[in-house]
Amino acid sequence: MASIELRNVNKWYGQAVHAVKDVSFTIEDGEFFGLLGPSGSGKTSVLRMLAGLETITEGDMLFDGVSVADKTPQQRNIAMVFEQNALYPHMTARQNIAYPLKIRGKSKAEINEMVGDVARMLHIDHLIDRRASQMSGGQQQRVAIARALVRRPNLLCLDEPIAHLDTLLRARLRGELKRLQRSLGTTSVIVTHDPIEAMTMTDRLAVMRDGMLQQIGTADEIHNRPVNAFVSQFFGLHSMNMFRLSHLREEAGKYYARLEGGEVGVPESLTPLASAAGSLILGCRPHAVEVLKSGEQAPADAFTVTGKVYVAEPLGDEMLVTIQVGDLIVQAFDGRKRDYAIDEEVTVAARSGMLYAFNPDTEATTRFSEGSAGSLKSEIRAV
Amino acid sequence: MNRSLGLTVLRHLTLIVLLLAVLSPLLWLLLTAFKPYEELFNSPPTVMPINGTLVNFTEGWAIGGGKGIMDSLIVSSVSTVICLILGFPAAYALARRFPPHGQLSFTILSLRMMPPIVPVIGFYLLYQELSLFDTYTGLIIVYTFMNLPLVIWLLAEFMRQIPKSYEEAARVDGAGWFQLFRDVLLPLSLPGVMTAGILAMIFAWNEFLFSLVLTGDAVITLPKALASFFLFQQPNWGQLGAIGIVAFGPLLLLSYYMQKLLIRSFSIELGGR
Repeated sequence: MASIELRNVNKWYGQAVHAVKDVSFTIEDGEFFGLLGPSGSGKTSVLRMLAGLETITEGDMLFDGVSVADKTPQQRNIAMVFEQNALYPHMTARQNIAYPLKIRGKSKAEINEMVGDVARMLHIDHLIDRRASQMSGGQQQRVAIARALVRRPNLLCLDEPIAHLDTLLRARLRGELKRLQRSLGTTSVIVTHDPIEAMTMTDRLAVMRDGMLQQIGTADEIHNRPVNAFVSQFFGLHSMNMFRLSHLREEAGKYYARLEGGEVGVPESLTPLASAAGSLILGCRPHAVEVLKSGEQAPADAFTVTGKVYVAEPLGDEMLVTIQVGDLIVQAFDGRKRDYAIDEEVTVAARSGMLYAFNPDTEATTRFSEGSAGSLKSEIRAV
Repeated sequence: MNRSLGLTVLRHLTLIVLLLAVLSPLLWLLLTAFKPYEELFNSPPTVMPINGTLVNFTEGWAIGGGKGIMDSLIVSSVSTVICLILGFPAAYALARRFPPHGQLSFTILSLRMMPPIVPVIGFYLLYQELSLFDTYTGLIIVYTFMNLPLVIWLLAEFMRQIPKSYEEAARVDGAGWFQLFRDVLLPLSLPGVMTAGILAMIFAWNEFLFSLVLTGDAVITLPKALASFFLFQQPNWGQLGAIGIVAFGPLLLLSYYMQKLLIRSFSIELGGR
């Protein structure tokens, strides 16, 4: 077990691809850390540098305060679970798990005992003499996790370990991995593109985009206080709705702005956040949006947009309504589960206190939502 | 119904005729091997041996067939093993560090396309200087030189199919280069190794030109031994047939056995998903 520090780490592939740009962060001893981002964001490159599979082009990496930049995976004593094709196909599960111990020259009795222990821990005793081709994907990943844990690594690297499994199994392994990590206290890093995995399993996580670190924090911090428009849209079970307003103007004490060819009213409290050119980006989570059918009155000081229902999907206790406003797609949860006709005209309304605002040029967050309706708790309940 | 039956019959007849056309020289060779000398020139010719005999085998073995087979075994198996030992790491480097259809890959393969007659004079002169003329070592070097490009190229093609994650898993598990090769890469590329090995073996086994030019009386490989049957006397076709059959046998057995191995190793599903 170790604490890990990255100092201004850069990764270049050849001269052309700058995959990781000046990334610095610290992982505490025993922490479960997440690297989250869309594909091509550099998260896997960071993990592979942590594992020692890629060299660090520039910067330094420290395990317990000692630089490991020039050390091999074995010297770092890390373990890794790969996305797929992880088990050696010509070996049984037992041989797979025993392999790292065999290389380290452990005695046969020792190996047998350690393999037995880890197999019981992961409930794979009954699979122990099967080859990879005789196991399901979930069983293979379990064996791969066992092989990673059997040697008690300083750092456990998980490269989308459960991304290829079906939904139910993924949810189960998510819980198991988290329990396992907590009980062993192994410092772990998981790479994932799935915000659910990131927010449910990890203690803290880093959101990356185009090789650059966007934000580091706990799932709640990132969810409730995203630093910019990208993070707020990417992080969460449902993407944040974004309204890019322009041409803000005042008329008789009320404010209006252009959106998707139409004009919408803008609550006065938000107008100071607009740029000099009259542009403003507003955002709100689907749970913070009310859907109003024709004839219903929007609450006072609400931001309202009118559009047509694209589709309405029942999700257990709620209805997820997708509304089209010009080319813009807005999603809203309707807790009352009313029926919606396709192309029905509706109005979406968000109280101004629920809205996030972003700088129209830098897309940095200029105002956070005050409400609790957009919090993580209510979104997880919805799934 | 009738039409399909007719088609089936026609198809089988065609196959039988083609098969006979291909196999008849071999069949004739086989039958000749068991005929005593007097029967060879019967007029009209007889197909089956009348007084079947094994004397062609013993005599053929004694007058040079035996030495030919032993020498060929030594030269082709040793050069094949060297080819595989040198070719395996070279193929790995080619597969992992160079683009699939790059210059280097092509250059290596193009060495094998060169007609053997091109380098043979050079080798002859060189071998006179280096005292390698008419030695096992000399012939083994030449066969390795000729077969190595093909082995490298074949193995590299095969290794490209092996997902990199196995190697990375091994590196993370703490395997060094030797362990990586022995425990992971070799078992996974075994079908490729065997294919390349069989091909190298067959080339060396059948090779005539180098053997003819680069050896004298000390080393006489099988193709050269068979050819020498013609040189000094009226060839004894029965002995030639007998040794020919014996020469053909190991290749047949090897291919048959390897084929079974190949199927088994391919069925260890790569990827295992």
